[in-house]
Amino acid sequence: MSKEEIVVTGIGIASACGLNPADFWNNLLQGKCGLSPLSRFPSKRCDRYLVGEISSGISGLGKQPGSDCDRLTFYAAAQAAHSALLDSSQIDRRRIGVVLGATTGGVRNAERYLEEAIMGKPDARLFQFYPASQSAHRLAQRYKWSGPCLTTSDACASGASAMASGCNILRCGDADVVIVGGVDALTRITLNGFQTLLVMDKEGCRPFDKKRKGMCLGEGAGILVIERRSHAAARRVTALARILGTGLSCDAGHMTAPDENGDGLLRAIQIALKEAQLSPDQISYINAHGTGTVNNDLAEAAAMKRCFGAAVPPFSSIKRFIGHTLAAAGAIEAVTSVLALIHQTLPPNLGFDEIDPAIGLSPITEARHSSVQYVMSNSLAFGGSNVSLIFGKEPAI
Amino acid sequence: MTSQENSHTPIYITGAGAILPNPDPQIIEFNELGAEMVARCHPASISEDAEVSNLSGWRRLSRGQKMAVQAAYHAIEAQPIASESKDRVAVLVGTGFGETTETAAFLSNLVHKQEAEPKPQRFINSVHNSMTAAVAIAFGFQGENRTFLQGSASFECALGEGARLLQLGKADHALVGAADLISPYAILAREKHTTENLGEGCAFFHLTHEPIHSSISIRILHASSRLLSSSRPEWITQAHEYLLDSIEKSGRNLAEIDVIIVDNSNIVPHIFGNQTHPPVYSYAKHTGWFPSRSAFGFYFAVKSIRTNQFRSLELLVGTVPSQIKTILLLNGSTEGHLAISILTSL
Repeated sequence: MSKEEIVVTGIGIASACGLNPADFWNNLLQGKCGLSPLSRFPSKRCDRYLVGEISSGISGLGKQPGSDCDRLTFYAAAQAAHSALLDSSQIDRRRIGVVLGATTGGVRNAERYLEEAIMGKPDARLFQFYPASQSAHRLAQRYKWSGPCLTTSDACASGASAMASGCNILRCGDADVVIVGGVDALTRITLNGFQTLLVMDKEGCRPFDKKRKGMCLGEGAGILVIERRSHAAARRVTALARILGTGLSCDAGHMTAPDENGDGLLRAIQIALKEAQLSPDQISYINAHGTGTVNNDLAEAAAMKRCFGAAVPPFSSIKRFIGHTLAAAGAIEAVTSVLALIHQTLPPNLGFDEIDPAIGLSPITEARHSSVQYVMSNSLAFGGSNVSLIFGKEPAI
Repeated sequence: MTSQENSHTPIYITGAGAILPNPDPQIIEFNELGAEMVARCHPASISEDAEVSNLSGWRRLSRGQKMAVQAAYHAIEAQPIASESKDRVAVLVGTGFGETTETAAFLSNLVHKQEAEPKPQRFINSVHNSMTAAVAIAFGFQGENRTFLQGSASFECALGEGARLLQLGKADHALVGAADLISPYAILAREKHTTENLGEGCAFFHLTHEPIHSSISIRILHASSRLLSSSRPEWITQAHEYLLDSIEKSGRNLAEIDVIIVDNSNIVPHIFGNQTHPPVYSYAKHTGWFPSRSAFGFYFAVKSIRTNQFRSLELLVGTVPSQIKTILLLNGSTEGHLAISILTSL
């Protein structure tokens, strides 16, 4: 087992708030909300709901055949691979792995199939790209990366759990470099599904606010290149941040509702802190899951208060900027955490106006320059899965 | 492991449970797609053991969730897990499609009824990790709860991560499984291969550091998967190198392997060429096709080592071996994944 530090050497992003890390970050700091009324497809039930769509359309990201998720993945992965100098380095491609979080995959293709079936002649080839594992598979084959290739599908924690699996692969020596991240696209099934669960706010989410009514969906991809420090040093690539701890747990209580006391998330946080060898007071900033649903924000706040006591670090959720991107969320928030460490700045939490007495915490609502040494990024999911990731500032940056 | 390649910590299988496809084919009709689809299928039989069906919430579980809970129950029967250890039990499931029967039903309703009557429970069940979560909820396992999708290598992805969690000390027990169900979307996604009968099922394995009894426990010497080149000549070269590397890392040599178990693919001649190799058995006719059926190859391997005999498997090449101590499992296609597992008796 390797106890060597793992570093992030490349990042890429596609989101409603920017199609590269620089634009995304600038829009976050300027408080530019990326939500807009749903236009991707008609929906009687969710007509005019605010969502985080890629404004240029996903087809604008690439013309190759595949699902929306494939295009989002390729687009963000190309940025990450380029920034990590994977395209120019002499790396044994058999030692490069891919771990991608995904939930919807080609579900939109299935929807198109059924829509075409009503018109009379559906194209069964649409199902070629149906499995959610296709994006990781096609990404790896596109670049001839023939190390371990996994798709994690842990609902809204998939992107974060993919990060954890990538670290495990590196620590066990099963690869030298791992492309990790998450992707999801807007679909009718997810919009309607969450709507039937009565957890959507058609006017956009308001994380941690007293008047929050629910979540809003988005789409996107976040991709990171991670490797052991010695490997990055040997190929003279600059590390952007360190990954110090990954903690995962399961509530094992309810299929959809998080534990109201935040027990499961607290355990994940404690595991991550222990692995990072940090005490709670060393965390500079928390990038919260913050979906804007009543239950999620209560559970998450409970876990934060139990871990940090009266000294909860500055925290914010970026879901009002880009929507809840499901499997991409944890990965995009990991990219956000890395950017916060690089720029020594904390992104704001849009949509927060009034403190909820039941929560008793206020997120930061304006971008803030700060000394950021350690960032925690939390994710919660259907099925009771919880993930906590801890990133550290790279000394050289 | 994904291999035991960088660790001296042995990993054992102390229990296995499975819901197998029914050997008798049935006609299943799918109306969810608008046009009726009919296929020859081997649906799994869920027997609803009294011990399992008395678990809290059993009646509300979906078909896939019931399969998972029942198979998991049998996997931990031999070595029950103490309640104080439950936050150290990881549950990991590989699935090609998840419970896509539920997805299809939810979506069909949306499209055909113009979003008028979507059923929330079907949406909840259609999430890929619902079967994994159902196992955690049924038994109170609070460790990592992970679901892996990767086509025919889905099970091995879960297996590899389970092994890593044990090796890294992130879990004391890994309950690793695989599950898939016959569904219209699986049929459509498998369009090119519809000549093969369709199956479904679920298998679980209890992995720990501690063997409980030499006649029950099986040691995993190696378990890993790679996505190799999509070019067949490159794939063959890579696969051969990967196999030799895996066998070496297992601490065995080819002569010490008694049997090779595969699905029905033709990968053995591609990988071995003219080289002499152990007899080859297949589980394909017993399972029918579904993405995570390699878990049943694994299940049959565990059973075969325990009983020193093969049942339910078809001998493809070679002669029946005199002993079954060490088994090499190959799962892959010449266009992509290759997963390699090596199991041995204690």
